[in-house]
Order: sequence, then structure tokens, then C-alpha cells
Amino acid sequence: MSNTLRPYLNAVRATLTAALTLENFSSQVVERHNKPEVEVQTSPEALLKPLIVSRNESERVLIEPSVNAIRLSISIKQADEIEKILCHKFTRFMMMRAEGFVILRRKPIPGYDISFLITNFHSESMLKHKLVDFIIQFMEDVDKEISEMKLSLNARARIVAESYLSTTELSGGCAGSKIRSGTASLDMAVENGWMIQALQPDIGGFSGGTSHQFLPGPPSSYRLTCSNDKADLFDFAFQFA
Amino acid sequence: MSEYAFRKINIDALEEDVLLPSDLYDPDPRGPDGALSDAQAKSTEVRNLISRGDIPGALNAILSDPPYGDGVDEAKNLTTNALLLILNSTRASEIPGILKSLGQEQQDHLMAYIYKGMAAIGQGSDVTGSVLLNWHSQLTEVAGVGCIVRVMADRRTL
Amino acid sequence: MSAPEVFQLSLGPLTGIAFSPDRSQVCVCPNSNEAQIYTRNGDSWDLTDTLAEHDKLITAIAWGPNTNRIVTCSQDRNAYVWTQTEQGWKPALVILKINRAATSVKWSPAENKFAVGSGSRIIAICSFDEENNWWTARQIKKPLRSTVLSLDWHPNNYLIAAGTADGKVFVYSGYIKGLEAKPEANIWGDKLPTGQILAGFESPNGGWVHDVAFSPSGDALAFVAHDSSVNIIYASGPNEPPAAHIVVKLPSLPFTSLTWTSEQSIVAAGHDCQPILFTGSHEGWAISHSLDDPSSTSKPLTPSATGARAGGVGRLGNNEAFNMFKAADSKGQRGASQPGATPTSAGLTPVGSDGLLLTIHQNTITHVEAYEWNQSGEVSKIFTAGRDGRLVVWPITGSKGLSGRMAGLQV
Repeated sequence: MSNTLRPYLNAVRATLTAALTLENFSSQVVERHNKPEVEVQTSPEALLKPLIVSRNESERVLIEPSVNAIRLSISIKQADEIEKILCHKFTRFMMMRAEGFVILRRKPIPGYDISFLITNFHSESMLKHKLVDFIIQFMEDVDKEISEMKLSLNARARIVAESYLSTTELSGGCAGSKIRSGTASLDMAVENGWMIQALQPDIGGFSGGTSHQFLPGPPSSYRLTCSNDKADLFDFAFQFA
Repeated sequence: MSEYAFRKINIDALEEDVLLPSDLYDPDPRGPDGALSDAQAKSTEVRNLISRGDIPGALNAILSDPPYGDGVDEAKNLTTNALLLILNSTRASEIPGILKSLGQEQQDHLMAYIYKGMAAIGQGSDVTGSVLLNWHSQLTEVAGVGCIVRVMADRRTL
Repeated sequence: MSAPEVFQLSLGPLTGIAFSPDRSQVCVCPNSNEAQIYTRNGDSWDLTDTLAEHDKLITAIAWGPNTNRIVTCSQDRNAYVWTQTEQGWKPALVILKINRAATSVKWSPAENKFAVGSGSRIIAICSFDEENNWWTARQIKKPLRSTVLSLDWHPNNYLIAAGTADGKVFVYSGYIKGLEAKPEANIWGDKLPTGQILAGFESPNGGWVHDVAFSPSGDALAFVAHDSSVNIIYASGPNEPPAAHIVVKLPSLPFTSLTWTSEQSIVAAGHDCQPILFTGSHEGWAISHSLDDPSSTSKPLTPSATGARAGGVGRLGNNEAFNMFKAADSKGQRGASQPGATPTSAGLTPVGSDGLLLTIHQNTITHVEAYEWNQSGEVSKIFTAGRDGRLVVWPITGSKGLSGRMAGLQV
């Protein structure tokens, strides 16, 4: 499916080049006004036919041309919930800073994720082919950004889960692990009156007995060793209370 | 208050000489029934031609005098479906040759239908984005950006 | 063959431009509410006068060659006629009675009147009222239904052609009673009261009519519309359909302006940033060649359907090696990037490797007009002004097309 990316961007580029034929057009409706006709929509003759370029159901671009402005709305591919949230946050970030962007519209057209408004004043002060290049580059980059953000989000989540569920200070938790024959030892620093008790005392053995009461005071280290001379796996459950 | 009611009048709706979108082009001379019967006849012709493998002929038939404007929705649907069928049935290697054999007006109509097809992706149409994008890029090579400009500027919606 | 002369008069668009009759001065509007007059000084232009009277953007300027008067019209619904006195240029207000912006203005061939097109769907034909010492207007309203985008006068001083934003072209009678003698019947119409509409046309695919022009004889009318086409109409007789309505549809972006260089040739320019020469007659018209960049003189550069130049052709073509090292130094790009490596698929602007367009104009050309005529009355040089602030004077090369060049070959 990725082999349609180039034709898709080329189609958008061609349509955008065709639509960026803008000129200064004073309002016919209100005197001394000069407003983008595609936003005001008061004169049907000043508007041209809107065109949609789409790659599949979720990725499309709507181009609404008119005599002095064009409105370009992009619908970004959002495959799952996480991408939806990321896309929403990303576009919101940009739209809140729309003034710095110059050609960005503060609200997207309904049904799309982000919209641009390019007027004849923009095309007079900026080179048209550069504007087209920018939009195409933007479309490519948005997809990359969202994938990157999703990857880094997943990586962070993994790190957080690992550090949460691994050793160091546990409170009121239950760690279960399957242990093969051999010994396993769990080193921990325990503080403040915890008691450790094996839940299956007849299986294996504790070096410190089946339960151990820690005295209140500064953290003391305790080594718990269990051994299993049976061949099969069993669950070891520790409970801290 | 009744004395302020005049402020709520929509003055633009009352202006007589307002330019409507339908004034901007001449309606289809065949009328809605004529257009519908034309579209049905062409549809069947196209299916025959496709089954015989004559793609250029089928394209020629469907792209000459397509129905346009208001009130001919069924004719438009028939024509669009027939055209999308042709686009799907053409081999990619034959596309450039076929495009070069079309007249300029037919190329403009074809571009309009390609855009119409892309707008309808995902709403039950059976043609994929890649097919349409391929046709679009080949047609732009042959007919240029001017073809796209004509699609935008033409008021006669196909 | 001389190269085009390029002058950068402003950084922004030139919204209005008009030359003085001897071409020593030019009046331009640099996208503001003032008009500036530059005087030629060798190879450059010096600012000599500023005409500041309008409140909003000046949309068009016309300079009458015989009477040496300038008329400017602007988006503030006004027009002024400027006459030159010892103290400089003095404005005279024109009572247009329009309530929207004025979009275009043209002096009639005899310069006793001028026409102003406006967004209030009116053409105002203005003449000087001696009693009250001001300019007054007669208005043409029917059947205009949208902004008038362009105007042109017929050589007989009576007829006017107007292009509107709803894609229509009308030919009117602009006869002002009391100002001039009654017009005679001609090929466009026989009864010519003021404001009488004589003919209406439109381009087959619709689109705003950006410019209209009568041919030098007046028997043909050409207009460019937004559907990337050039339409030429040959009149046959009053109240009769035209003898020929020829449409040349192009694979390039639409044109915004055109001018007749002779009875068989037209130069049009627009969003493609290059002037294109067309030749033909009432049997048919076709593209001859593009006036921009004839460096490959044996092959006139035609805007092909792809619009992209064969890689390397153009001023930058010989500097490919230079550009490669320049790119490696400034952008860190290794390897040669050909001109147009920025993906130019079909029909798109040919971009050089430094990011600038390969044409002389960097943005849309908005105005094309005749600059110089040769002995036989044909135009030998045209000038173009564009949204990039450049004014370029082009010699018309190869105006007779290939057949002309072949005729010039001698065995």
C-alpha cells in the first residue's frame, strides 16, 4: 500500500498547482472589503469546484479553490486510538499557533483534521512552487511524526511498566514467579515492620523460615532463598503485609 | 420588539437579481429523461465493449456527451459506474496509449470522473485508490495541469 | 536577436503599469495606494514622481499616448485623471457613481473618453464635462451580472468589449451622445445607442475572463479565460452568429493577459510565468512558441504537456557542475541534483536547482502590452509586468513561426 504514496503526493501537487492561480479580487458584496471568497461563499461565480484527492478511505485531501484563496483540508490516517489521540494533540498544537504558520487555519473543516487557507496575498509574497513544496512536505512529515510519537510513547510505556513491576520498593504487592529447580534469591531492602510469609510453605524452603518479621527501624536487607528439588515448576508467592 | 424586527430580515435573500449557481451554465439540452435514456444505452454498450476487450471504444462511448447539471442524478450514477468499471478493467500498460487516443474534451471529462471516483472511495465504490491515482498521474502527463484547471472551472458538474 | 531587458521595479507585485508614449517614463503601482512614475536613466529607472490620492490599492493605470493624461482606478471606488503641469501631475476626480471597487480602466483610441470596469457590475464610460469642469460617467448595467474583470476598446472608438467574472464576454456600444458623431454600422452591430449590447460569448469550459482584446482591425476579438484557453472570435455581421469561434485549449496554467501583435498573432502570458506566441487566422490558431529563454535557438521552447524543461536546458544548464558543488556546500547534498529534482511531475513548474523558476518572471505575469512597433505596423517588442515586481521587455522572435525561418534560409 505504501507504493501509492508517491502517486498520491504527486496528484495533490498537480491539483494544488492548478488551484494556486489566485488574483486580487475585491468583494462584490460589501464595498471596500477584500475577503477570501472561499470563506465568505457569497458569490457562486467566484468559487470553483472543490476536488478531493484520496488514497484510501482514511487519507484524503480536499481542495476548495476560488478566485482569491484556496482552502486545503487534510485528513490524516489514524489507524487506532493512540494515533487518534496523538493526531488530535499534534494538530491542536499547530492550530493554536496558527498565526506563526501564516497559511494555517485555526479550525479544520468538519470531517478533516487540519486545514490551510492560502490567499492571493500569500501567493504574492511567497513563491507558489515553494508553497506547494511546503504542503507536500508537511503531508509527508505529519505521518512520520505521528509514527515516531507512537513509537516513543510505546517505548516510554514499556520502561515505566518495567520499572514499576521490577524490584526495589514494593508495598502490599504480590510478586509471583515460576522457578525451576535450583535456587532463586530475592534481595530486598525492607523497612518499617513488614512481615514476609511464604504462602506455600510446604514447597521448597525458606532460609529464613516460613515467615519473617521485620522489626521497625532503619531499612534492613533480607535475603530470601528458596530451593526446589522437585522437577516441575511451581509458583512462589510472597506477600508483604 | 416589533420595531426591531426589520433587523432580522435577510436582505440578500430578497434581492431579485441574484446570481444562482445554476445560472452559470446552460443545462443539459437533452433534459432529464433524454439524459437518463442516453446513459442507460451507453452503459449497456460499454459493458458489451468491455467484454469484447475494446477498452478505447468503451471509453470513447462513455466520455462523449456525459450527463451533467441538476436533476439527472440517476443518469450520472449510471455513467460514473460504467466509467469506473472501465478504469478497473484496463491493464496498466495500455493506459498511456488509450489516453493519447482520446480527444481533448474527453480527457477533461475523464479527469472529472477520476476526481469524482476519488471522492467516492470508501462509500461503497469498488475501485481502489491506487487505480485512480495511477490513471490520474498518467492523464496529467498527457493532458497537463490545464486539464485539472478545466475540471475546476467547469460549472457543469458531471 | 536581442535578449529581453529585465527591470526589478519593486519587491511586491506591480498591480498597474502604463508607459508614456515615448517609453521614457513608466507609471506603476507597487501594490499600494500610490502610483509612482519612473524615468528611464540608461539601464535603470529613477523614481521621479509619486501620485498619491487614492485610499486603497490601485488596480489599473492607463496612459493616453496622444493627450498625455494618466487615469488610475482603485479599490476605493474612485478614479482620477492626472494631467501634467509645471508643478507636477495634478489629479481630477472622476464621478463614477459605482459602489464597489474599480477593476480596470482603458482610454479609448481617440482619448476623448475612457471606460472603467467595476465590481458593482457596471461599466462606466467617462467623458469630460466642460461646463462643470469634471469627468462624468454614463453607466452600462445590463446584462452584467458579475464583476467586470477586463475591458478593451474597438479601434473605431465606439465599441467596448468586457470580460466578467461569470465567464461571459460582451461587446457593447460605448457611444456618448453629445461628445462625438453618431457611429456608422460595422461588422459587430448596426444600431449603436449607448450601452446597447451587441454580442455575448463565453468559453466552453467556463472560467473567469481575465483579459479581452480586439484585433488591430477590429474584426476579431480574443479573450483568455480561466479554463486555460484562448478564444478568438471572428465576427461575420450584425446580429449574426460569429464566422468563427476558435478555442485553443492548453495543457498549461491559465493566462491572465493577452495582446495582439499583428492580425495573425497574439502574445498571451499568465500563471505559467512566460509569454507565449500564438499564430493563426480564421481557419485556426495554434501555439507558435514561448518567448522565454530561447537559448536553444534551434529548438524554440514550446510548453509541452509536461511543462517541465528537458533537464539542464536553460541558463542554469551549463552550470550544472557549479550547482552541484554549491549544493554540497550550502545544503550538504552529495551528488548532482538535476534541475527539477524537486519532484516535478507532469505539467508543473520547472524549478532550477537554486529553487528559483527557470523563467525570467518568478511569479505570475499580470500584464502584457505592446512596447514598440516596426515599420509595417506590427509589434516588434512587448513588455510584461508581473507579481514578482519585474518589468521585462521582450523582442518578438520568430513571429512568423517556422515557415518564416525556413523562408529566410537561402541555398
